[in-house]
Amino acid sequence: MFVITVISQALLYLCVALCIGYFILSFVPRTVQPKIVVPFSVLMMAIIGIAIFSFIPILQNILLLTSRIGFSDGIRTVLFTFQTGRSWMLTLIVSTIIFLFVILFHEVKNRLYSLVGLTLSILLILTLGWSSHASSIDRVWGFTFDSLHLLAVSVWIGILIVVSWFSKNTVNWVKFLKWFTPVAIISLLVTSLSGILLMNFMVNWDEYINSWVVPYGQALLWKHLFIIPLLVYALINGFFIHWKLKQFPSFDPRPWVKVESIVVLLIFSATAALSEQSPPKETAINDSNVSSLFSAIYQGQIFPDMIVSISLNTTSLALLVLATLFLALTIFSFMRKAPAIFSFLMSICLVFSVYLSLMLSIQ
Amino acid sequence: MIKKVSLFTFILLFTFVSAAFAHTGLESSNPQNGEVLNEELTTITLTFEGNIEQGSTFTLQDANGETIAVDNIAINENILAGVLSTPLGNGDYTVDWSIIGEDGHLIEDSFTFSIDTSTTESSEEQNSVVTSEDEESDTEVTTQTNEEESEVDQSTTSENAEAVQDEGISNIVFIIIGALIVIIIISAVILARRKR
Repeated sequence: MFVITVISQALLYLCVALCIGYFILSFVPRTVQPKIVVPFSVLMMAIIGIAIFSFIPILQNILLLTSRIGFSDGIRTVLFTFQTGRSWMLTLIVSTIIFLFVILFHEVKNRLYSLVGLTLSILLILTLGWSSHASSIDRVWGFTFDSLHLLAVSVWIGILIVVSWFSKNTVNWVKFLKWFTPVAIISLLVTSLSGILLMNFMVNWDEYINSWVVPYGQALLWKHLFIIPLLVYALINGFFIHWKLKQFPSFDPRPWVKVESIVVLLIFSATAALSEQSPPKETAINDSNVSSLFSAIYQGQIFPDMIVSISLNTTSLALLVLATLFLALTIFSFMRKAPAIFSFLMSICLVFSVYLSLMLSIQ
Repeated sequence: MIKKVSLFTFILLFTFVSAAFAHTGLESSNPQNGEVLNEELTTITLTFEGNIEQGSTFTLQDANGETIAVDNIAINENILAGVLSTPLGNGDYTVDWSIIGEDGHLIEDSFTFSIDTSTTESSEEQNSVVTSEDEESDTEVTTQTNEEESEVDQSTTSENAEAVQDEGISNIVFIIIGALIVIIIISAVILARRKR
């Protein structure tokens, strides 16, 4: 069940990003973007996907209550009294409205259509933010930061995914980068800032390393590590690509944006995994909640209230050197016009080396 | 082997200190964890760190593991309370609670308390309370010493085992590092040979 929930949540983020990206790109003039065709069926599936994937955690609650008070009472209690159930009802209502709206007006495709679609999608994000963990901790700020985090990441990643997977050609690529790069940078700043503020609800600053003992901390660590290749690809796709295109006008930048979007999917998965865990602030370390990954690598004793600290040793230093080499190879693959998948494998090795280096430097 | 040893140490330590560190989610309860009551108990109240949803519940069990009926389990924001229809007799009791937080996550845990009404009846018996408390603290001291001893035992055994295990893990790490170096060299060669 855990795996199903994690997959469903990662797909939920993907669907939300797709909707936002689609409406933004249909709003932006044709002259500053490549030719983009998002199949109608894909758009429909994304909208239906939002309603279905956000229902999976609700379904879990219903099944839990079914064993206690019966199925029909369980459904009623969850949908009408639970915070998460009620926000899902809102999600369902808004996604139904978007669904009908797109069916009725997608032939029109003028600026008003895009603007209304975008507004509805933002509304959808607010309903998702309302049911978030942060929101249950702090109604006002938790909700604000979570919604802002989701919105900023959807703007950036949504455009990225739509352009990388649904563009038919690469005309206007430089013009596209001209407006997308600043948008991406602003989104990245908003995402990081809201992410840091959100993290504050879940993990105490001084306990960041300590949190690696529990599954939440492990997922958070993986998420943060995958931001390294994400930034590398953002750098390649936002800046280095200009030199390549000047040098070789026929160069196809799309495989490289695709790789960036796959890294994003990995980050989405790590985020989904953490959304299903008990945050470190609310978790006392005990035998039932130690991360199996942590206990497999860490050879010392694990005990309640343990303090984890790191200090570099020969092994972890060696791994950091290897990580730097993998970083260089990730960028070098682009310079040498190697297949993008080759560079992707290098970046996976990079993340793995840094992870192992950190885990092995735990005292 | 080390896993077993450390797991054992861990369980051992955990059972000793379980009362010392906070249970996730539960802020306070009445009766408290480990409390010995010398009066009748009519309601059990659990206060949580955050609001809880409908369907959150708890069960009460006596020392024999028999479930005792609790009436009117009510939820009010972050408080879960239940009324006992019949007074509890002397003995140890366990409260198993299972709640759903506002974020939809299930949290479960338990705590224990005891009832000993025989102690308040007369002054003579109150003396006996003092003695029994003394005895209790005596036993606590002994348990603690035992604990310390076993801890020392454990750490020596596990240190030996750790030394053996350390070699095992560092071998794996060396193999991984070797593999990564090979990947780097092959990749570098492939890239260097590509025509620009």
